[in-house]
This record gives sequence, C-alpha cells and structure tokens, in this order.
Amino acid sequence: MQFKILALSTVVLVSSLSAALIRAAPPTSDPQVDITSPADRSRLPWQSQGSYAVTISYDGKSTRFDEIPSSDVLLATSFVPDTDAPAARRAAPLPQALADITRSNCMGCHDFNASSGGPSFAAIGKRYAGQPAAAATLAAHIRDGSRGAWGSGSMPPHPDLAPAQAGAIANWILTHGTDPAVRYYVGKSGSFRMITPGKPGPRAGLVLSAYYTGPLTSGGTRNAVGRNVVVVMGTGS
Amino acid sequence: MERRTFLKTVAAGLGASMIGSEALAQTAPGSRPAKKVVVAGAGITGLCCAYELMQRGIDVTVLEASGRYGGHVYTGHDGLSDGLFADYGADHLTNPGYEQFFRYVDAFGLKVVPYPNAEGSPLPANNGQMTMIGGKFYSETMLADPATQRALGFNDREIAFLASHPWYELPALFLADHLARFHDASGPFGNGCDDLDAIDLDALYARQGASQRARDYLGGQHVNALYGVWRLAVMLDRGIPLSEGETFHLEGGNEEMPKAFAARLGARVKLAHPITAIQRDATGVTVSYTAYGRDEPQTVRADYVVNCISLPVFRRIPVTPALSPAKQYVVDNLTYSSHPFFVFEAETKFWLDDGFQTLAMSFEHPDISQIWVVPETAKSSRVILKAFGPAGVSPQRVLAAFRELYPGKRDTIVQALTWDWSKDPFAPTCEMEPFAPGTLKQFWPEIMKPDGRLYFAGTYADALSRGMESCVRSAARVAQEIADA
Ligand code: HEC
Repeated sequence: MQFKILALSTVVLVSSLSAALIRAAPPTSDPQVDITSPADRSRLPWQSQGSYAVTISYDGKSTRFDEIPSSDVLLATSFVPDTDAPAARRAAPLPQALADITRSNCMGCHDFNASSGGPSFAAIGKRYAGQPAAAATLAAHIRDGSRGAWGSGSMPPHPDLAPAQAGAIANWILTHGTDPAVRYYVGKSGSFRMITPGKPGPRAGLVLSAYYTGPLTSGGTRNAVGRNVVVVMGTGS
Repeated sequence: MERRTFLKTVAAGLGASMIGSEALAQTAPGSRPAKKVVVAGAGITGLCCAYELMQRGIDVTVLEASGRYGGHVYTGHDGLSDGLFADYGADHLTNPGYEQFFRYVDAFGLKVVPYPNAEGSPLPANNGQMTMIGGKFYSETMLADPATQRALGFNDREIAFLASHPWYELPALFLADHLARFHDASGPFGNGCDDLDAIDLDALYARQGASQRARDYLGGQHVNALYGVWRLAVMLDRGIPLSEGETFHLEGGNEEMPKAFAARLGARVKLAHPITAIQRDATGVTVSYTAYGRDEPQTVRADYVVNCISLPVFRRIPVTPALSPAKQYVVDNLTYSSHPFFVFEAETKFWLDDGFQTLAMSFEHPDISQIWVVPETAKSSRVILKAFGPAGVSPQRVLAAFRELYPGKRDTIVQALTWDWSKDPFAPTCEMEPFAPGTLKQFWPEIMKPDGRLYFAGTYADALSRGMESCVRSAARVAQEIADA
C-alpha cells in the first residue's frame, strides 16, 4: 500500500516535471503540419479519387479540437513526371494570395476547379485568359463586389482586402487558376483526384503538400515542420 | 398542354409516395432479406427519402455530418424576443406547386399559415407593394398605368398586354409559341425548341421583340433559354401560375417538416456521423464514416446509397471506383445559389403609421433588394421582417441601407440578424442556379440518373427544381426506384 502511494506520487512528480519542461521549451514559430493520409509512396490509379487527412498544430492550438478551423488547411496536389526526383519532395512556398483567399470568405462560395455558389477559379481564369485588363477588373470586382457577369448570383464586396491584396489574388486566379497540373483542396480532410495534364509516364505521380493558412503569431512563419509533403504514385494510364 | 400528358406527369411525380402505408414496413418471413440503404445527408431530401424507403420495408440508415438535421431548412430562435423565430433557409411553400409537400403536411398533422408577399411574391396584389425603379418608388397602381409603362420604356405591344395582365405574366407574351410546342414537359429536348440550348433567355426575349425595359424586368441573362422555356412548360403542366402561386409557411417554422420526418425515423438518423468514403462493387456499397468525436473510421455495408448531400459538399467524399465522366461533370459543374436572409425584429408595425398597408418593398440598393413581413410566429406584439441582401454583408449594413431607403418617417426595428450560409461547412448552398447556355445536354437527363448503386436526390434532381417540393419529389422518386431495383 505504502509503496503504491509512493509510486503514484513519483508519477505525479515526473509528469508535472515534464509538463514544466514542455512549458519551458521555446515556443516553435512554425506550424506542425502532418499529412496523416494517404501514406507516402502509396499508389492510386490515375483518374481515381483518394482521401486525405491533415492535422495541424500551431501556437498551442490544434485542428483536432477545432481550435484551428478546418478551413485553415490547404492541400495542393501537383503532377510530377518523376516521383523519384528530389525536386518532387519540395513543397513550394505558399503564395500570399492563396493564404488570403483561404483566410477570407471566398471558399464559402468558390472552389478551385468546380462550381458551387460562384464560378470556379479555373473557370474565371479561363474566361479572362489573355485579356490584359482582366487583372484590374477582377481585383475591382473582388473589392467592390460583382453581379451579372456569370449568373443571377452576386458576390459581396471585400473592403477588408487592400487593393494590393485583391490585385495579387486576381493575378493568382488568372495565372494559376487554370494550371492543369495543380489542384487545391481546402479542409482538414476530403478527397483529391489523381489528375494528369497529359499521358503519364511510369514514374509519374502527384505530390501532395499541406499548408496552414491561418493567422500567424508575431515572429511566426509558414515554414511547416512535420510530414507536409507526400508522394502518391499513379498506376494505370 | 394535353390533358393526357398532364396526368402522366402528375402521376410520375406523386405516385411515388407511400405516406402512412405502415403495413409494408415489415418483411414477410421467408421472403428475400430486406434491402439495405444508406442515405447520405439528413437535410429535408435525405429525411424524406429515408422515410419513403422505411415505408417500403427497406432497412435504412441516414448518416449526417452535422450535429443537427434539416440542412438548409432551418428555423432560428436565437437573438429574438418573445419566442419569435425566423426561417433562415427555405422560406415558403406555394399553392399550387407543393402538392407532394402538402401530402406530408396532411399526413403528419402539420399546419400551414398564409404568408402573403413572401420573398417578394406579387401575391396577394393588395396595392401595398412598392417597387423602386430608377431611384423612384412606384405603387402597383402606378405600375399598371400605361403612361407610367410608356415612360419606363415598355413598347406598344407590351403596354397592350399589360392592360389586362400583371407584369409577372410578361413571359407568356414572348414565349407563348414556344410553350405551345412543348408536348412532353418531362424533358427539355425533342419539343421543337432544342436550338434554344445555345442562347440565353434574355437573347430569346430580345428576339421575340421585348423592349429593354421588359428584358431588365424579366432577367434571363446567362440563363439557358431552353431551360427557361422548359421550366415554364413544367409549371404549366403542374398548374403553377406565373405568379408562382399563393405563399405559405408552416406553423412553428418550416423546420417542422424535417422534425416530423426525423421523429418517424428515430434512431435510423445518425447525427455527427460524416461519411468519409464510398466504395462500390458489383454486390453492394461500403460506406465509411466517423462517429462524433472519434477518429477511427467505421464502415457500413449497403445495397444502395442515396446521395442527398448538395453536390459541392458531396464531392469532398472520395468515391471508388470514380463516378462516370458524365456524372462527374454534373457534380463538378452544377452551380448553386447561396444567399442569406436578413431578419429584423421591430417593436411595432411602424409602416402603418406611415400609411402603408403592408411592408413589401423592392429596392435597387447593392446592400438590400427586398423587404417583407413574416406573419405572426409567436404570441407577441413584435414583428419579424425579412430582407434580401448579398451574402457576406453584415445585418447592420443591410439595416442601414433599409433606413436610407424607407420612404416613411421612422421605423421601430431593434434587432438585425442573419445566418451566413457561406460559412456552413455542410449546407452552404441553397437551390441550383439555372443552367448556362450550351450546357443543358451535359446535365439532362444525367442529373436524374443513378451511377451504379449510387442514387442522387435533391432539389436539383427533379424536372422542376423549385424549393422543398423538388426535394421531396426527388426523394420519393429515388425511394421508388430503389424499391423497384
Ligand atoms: C457569398 C458568395 C461569394 C463569396 C463569399 C465570394 N464570391 Fe466571388 N463570386 C461569387 C459569385 C456569385 C460570383 C459571380 C458574380 C457575377 O456573376 O458577377 C463571383 C465572382 C467572382 C469573380 C469573377 C468576377 C468577374 O468579374 O467575372 C472573382 C475573381 C471572384 N468571385 C473572386 C472571389 C474572391 C477572391 C473571394 C474572396 C475574397 C470571393 N470571390 C468571395 C460569390 C462569392
């Protein structure tokens, strides 16, 4: 009995000690981003759908308890002709425009490659491709709102976005919205598609990179730690 | 419309329901084991479909991602006094036009309450309505005056027509020939109008001699003209007038209908059970889901799955093998409307002091386009007003726009609220938007078809996408298709 009590208090002591140690550790200023599924180097047939799941913790908050909202998670999938090439493992830095898109309310009405409440960013990019004045028009429509350009729905104004931010978003939609090799998905879990821009070779696949798009604390960066890049190899053709 | 075709269409829409036929709910001993169906989504469509399947003796489970059922049919009480409430999603029913819905109303003993001028409805015409055109308010009497009509830019033919018709009947003036050709309204094609798929409804009105004023009033830009004509043909077929009928809502709020379905389904409805994957094979479907607060996925095996989740949310669920390219096109390209209602609580019917019989006004302001009164929802002297404004705009901004425009002396509004659907992860969208020109072939009839063992129901999956009625019609249709499969 005596022994048991002792052992118990040791445990208490050790755990409070380690808690103190954890608290004493310097706060990491990089978000911990982990793609928990799919597994790295897993295989999926081209044109099929896979499911993904991402966990993020940052600044003492976690997606697990919805302290970081699911909408702060962005997954990008890029086609690579050779999944063994070292470059395939490198996540491109997150463009600020994309962080702004996911942090504002855009994704409540838009999707990157499919219609929802508004046209897809891909469709917008396609419609205005090659029109030099388009970026300025779209930036103005993002800030001031828009109606009548696509259908009967209307887009609210976004006075909270600075002109430069709206301009960068418009440019991003025009230049990347239609990239056939890249797809974006918002949310901590969901589906992704094994898409190919052309006929894939035997070593081709998708690189999945996950990002935290939420607010940063002072001194924080978007350089993620953890398994934020995985490669999925395509099978079939 | 030939009477025979009319009857055929009515039968196809309504014959599917099995309200109250409890006798079928058991399988006779020794017979084939009951079919098992998973219904994805507990919005009004999913609940109705599950109810209809249950009535047919089919073993059904409804998996709903959210912690509440009802989806876009949502009656909110928060923030309002005296037990008042407002419907933030589905706003009203019409008569005619809600025949299937009214059968459930009767079967479940629910009550309907007249809801005049709902959502800008022109009925009843009571000369209390005010319409702003070019910055100026017009009463119904003024709008019926040929001199006003001429000043606004209507042409002679239109003015002659408007002498004996209300404005909302203008489509009949321009589309009568096309409508006469629609001998079979069960689908858009093959009625001698197929070429209209290429243009928009506005271009068709222009071609038919509509003035710019009439075109502005009718809208129709970016709306597939064949779809527009077909829609009117189906309405004609179902006896729905161009006014869209008299408007009503359910006593206690429209969520009474999802509640009535859910009460009958009991434990078959699993809330906070989001579906994470759907896998089909030759003999059945395996549905993966997680239970609330748990990470480990669980699976359930079924003969069929009915997707009753709106398509932008459904496409987040991986389906293997992938959907057919034709179905995937529908899933990726159907556009939805998503608009909020703004709800104002007023202490009194302040408009009476200003000499208005009712508050039913339409505006041209970017922050507010419409306001109307909700009939008494609780024993209270306070009143609920509803307004239309764009998503993402704050209720206070919409109220400020109303105060800027209201032609009376003062209002007694003390509360302004909204529900931002664009932030709802599971039910962000309302109804489908009309198809764009040149796309009807890709949507119809694919939009109604199952993809293997995966069936689709929802407001879009009916010949006439029109509020909760198309939800329950498509739900009953799919239940019958599965029973027959
Ligand atoms: C409440 C829904 C909603 C939200 C929120 C929303 N949009 Fe839109 N958006 C729409 C609709 C509807 C249209 C089509 C408008 C039209 O027909 O003119 C649209 C159109 C657009 C267009 C094309 C405009 C044109 O001139 O063709 C761009 C670009 C765009 N949105 C970007 C954004 C961005 C960036 C955000 C976030 C900062 C955003 N949207 C937020 C609904 C929304």
